[in-house]
Amino acid sequence: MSKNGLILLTPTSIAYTGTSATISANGSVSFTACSVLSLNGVFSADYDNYMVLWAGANSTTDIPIYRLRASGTDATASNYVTQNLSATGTTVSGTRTAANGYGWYGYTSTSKFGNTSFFYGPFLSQPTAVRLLSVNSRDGAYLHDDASTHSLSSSYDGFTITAQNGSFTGRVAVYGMRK
Amino acid sequence: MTTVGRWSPNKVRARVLDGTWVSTEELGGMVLLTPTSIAYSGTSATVGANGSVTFSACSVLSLNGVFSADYDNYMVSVRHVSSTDTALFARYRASGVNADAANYTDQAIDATGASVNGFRSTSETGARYGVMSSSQRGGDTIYVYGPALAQPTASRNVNAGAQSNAYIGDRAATHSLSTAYDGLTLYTGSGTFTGLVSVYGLVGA
Repeated sequence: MSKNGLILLTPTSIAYTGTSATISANGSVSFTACSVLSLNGVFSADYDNYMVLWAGANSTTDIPIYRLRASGTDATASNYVTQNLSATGTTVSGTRTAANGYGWYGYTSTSKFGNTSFFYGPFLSQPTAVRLLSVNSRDGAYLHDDASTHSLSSSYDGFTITAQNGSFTGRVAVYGMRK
Repeated sequence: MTTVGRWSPNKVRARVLDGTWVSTEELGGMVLLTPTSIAYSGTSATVGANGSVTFSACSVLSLNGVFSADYDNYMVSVRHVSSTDTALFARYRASGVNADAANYTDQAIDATGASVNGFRSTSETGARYGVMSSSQRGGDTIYVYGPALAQPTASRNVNAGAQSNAYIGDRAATHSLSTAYDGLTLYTGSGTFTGLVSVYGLVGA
């Protein structure tokens, strides 16, 4: 049996709003000028926890959002809570958004952004937690971390990333963490 | 005829007699990389059989040939103990030459006790990462986004420092040049550091 601890996964399908999005041979998804990108069939019973690496550039600075997704339908009810921790210069701030229909999902900027997130148990019929670490080029360098929860004890097989402003270009890869 | 080949950096596939392709059942997502060479200032540094680099009492440690077109993004794991309380810094590197012009910006969050502080450093000649301590071991996990691409590079570290026994020194760092780099130089703010560094390529990311 393989000892690989981190397995690159292939979505069963994707959906997007924008110029293009394609699944590469190895399973990662490249996208151009998309405002919405959905990955279906990446979460399964094979893994409890996942790492998602999403990097690229946006047409403007933006706080994108995510929604969990099951059988091609986003979970849009107000069951998400996000705690944010941001730092710019000497200003360190925290924000909580409660009972939203989405969770915050890092930060995007025009020059470069990198967001690494961890999804804990999205496919389990339990509440889901997501933790994200972001670097982006707003103000030269900007730190923006999110911890979010989704309270429903439902099973989800995918997720959707949506830009609140602009559109993003880059690549996203989902890894399963071997149990 | 049966053909066996490497499909991607860590996946093998084979064409069987009926002409169809089969591949290894899964694609490992994180590959431990081996530098093509290293350079250091200090007591010693050696590349282990698996690619990790062990170093002792170094002030500068350069890893050449770890970033390539095989991967866009990387994770760098460093465990460290230093000769004095200091910080870990890094410069990107191409063909053995450090990028040491003032093109780095980093944004910090430091936390110790009830004190949480942010600060930004601009026009720096290196990216500053976490704190290192002489009292106990600490560690940094650094995500590096696109160093081998001819685009600006971003990196994000998560630090466990031992200053004041436990310390958080997290950074978001950018480098503004659209240049491709194949390596990384780690160095201390002062004194030397001892530990282990491993560079992983994130397949497909």
